[in-house]
Amino acid sequence: MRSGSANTVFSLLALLLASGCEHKPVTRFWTSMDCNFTATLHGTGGKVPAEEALDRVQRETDRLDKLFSDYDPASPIHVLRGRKGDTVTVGPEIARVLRKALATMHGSGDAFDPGMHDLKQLWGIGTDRGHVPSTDSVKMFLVRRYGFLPGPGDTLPEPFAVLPDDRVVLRTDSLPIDLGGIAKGYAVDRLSNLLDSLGWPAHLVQGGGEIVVHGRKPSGPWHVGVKNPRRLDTVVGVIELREGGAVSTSGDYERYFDSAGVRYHHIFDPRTGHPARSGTISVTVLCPTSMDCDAITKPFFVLGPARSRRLADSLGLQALWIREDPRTGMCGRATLGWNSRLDSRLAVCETDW
Amino acid sequence: MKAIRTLGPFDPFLILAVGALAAWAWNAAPGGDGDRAVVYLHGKPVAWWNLSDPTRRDTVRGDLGDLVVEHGGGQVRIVESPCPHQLCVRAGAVRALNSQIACVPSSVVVVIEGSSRKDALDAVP
Repeated sequence: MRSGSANTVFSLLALLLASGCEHKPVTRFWTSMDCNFTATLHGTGGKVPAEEALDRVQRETDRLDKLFSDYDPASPIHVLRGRKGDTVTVGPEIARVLRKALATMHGSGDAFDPGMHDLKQLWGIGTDRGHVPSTDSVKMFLVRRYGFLPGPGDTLPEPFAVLPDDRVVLRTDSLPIDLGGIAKGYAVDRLSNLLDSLGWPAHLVQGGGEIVVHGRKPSGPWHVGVKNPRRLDTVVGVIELREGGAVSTSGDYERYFDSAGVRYHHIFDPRTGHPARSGTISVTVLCPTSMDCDAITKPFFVLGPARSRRLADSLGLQALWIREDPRTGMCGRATLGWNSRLDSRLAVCETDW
Repeated sequence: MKAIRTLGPFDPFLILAVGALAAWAWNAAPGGDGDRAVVYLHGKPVAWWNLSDPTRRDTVRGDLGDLVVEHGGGQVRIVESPCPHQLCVRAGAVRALNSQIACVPSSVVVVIEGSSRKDALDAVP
């Protein structure tokens, strides 16, 4: 064989070997914290093998599940069901999530309240006994929770206060605290940090609707889909992230029941005690951390774009709200800057709502 | 001045041959074959089916008992589950790469896996 042809063959074989040796990502799927988790590791050279790293991540979700569970009587979070005026001790992790909950409540003008656990139980959302409760029973909850029936401009009292030493002062009698709206985001951040410390910087972690991508994926940018809220197996757009970030979506399709043609979902307006009726059917937010995202999607859903756009801008977050539209089926409105990251297949609504 | 070397008479055939070999290697690599549904229990794969096969039902043992999974014809869905809220049954069928159905009380996740195109979605929240 002539030397020129030999060189060609050698070059092409080297290219073939290089392409064949591209390291296949390692993924694990499991359930914990009342949702499905996914972790995908890219690249090579971790401090521990990929499977061992995933074992440790999975064990960490089991620990966090026990820590934040509001159904397990042995969970440390149950000390929060004490009497009004009690001061109880929680660990630093619970205190951190509680602080985030209060900050979200205040920052959103009380469009979020971590003290709505019993209200969700009353409606039975996401269970096989979902029903519309009587108006009186909803009013009774609101009066018990706030001390009055809240109106549109009222400031709502916080359910607890967190002291600098991580002790918690209870402000309502026997009130179960629901951290489901934030603890999952905290968990996803924890798992991402753990993988980074184990020498796997290029990874994806998903817990339910919370996603963190971290580091550079060897094969190119990360692509995160925006779920179509009315055809759940399709997407209405794709977000491209080059180095990392968090994405969270909340929608009326996650946990709900239908009654007399009306959908009753799991994202509540604290002022009415009913599932939020802003017109929004889904909201997706881009944030620096998953806990930020997890916390803010709920008030963004409750408020809709007209009332939460300024909050999103002040926090430096990008968000996409989707609502049903009689003309196009559904349409969306987004914050400025969103379109630079979105391959959108979604019609744009003419105005905020 | 250095002369520019042109391709020899056999080089195009060599390029085609190596290209065909590369295409074969890409498709034969793990994860490069057709779409399939994989069932995970407690994070470990316990069953998988080719979605290009005709539609069929199989039983999977989860923490709460047996789930019936219908797979084939390009999609997968859970049709029966012993879990109390039936969220996984209500999720319906999925067909997109990386889409999932989870039955949390049973610790079961069903995932669509398959050909990893570079523009495939990494996740859908």
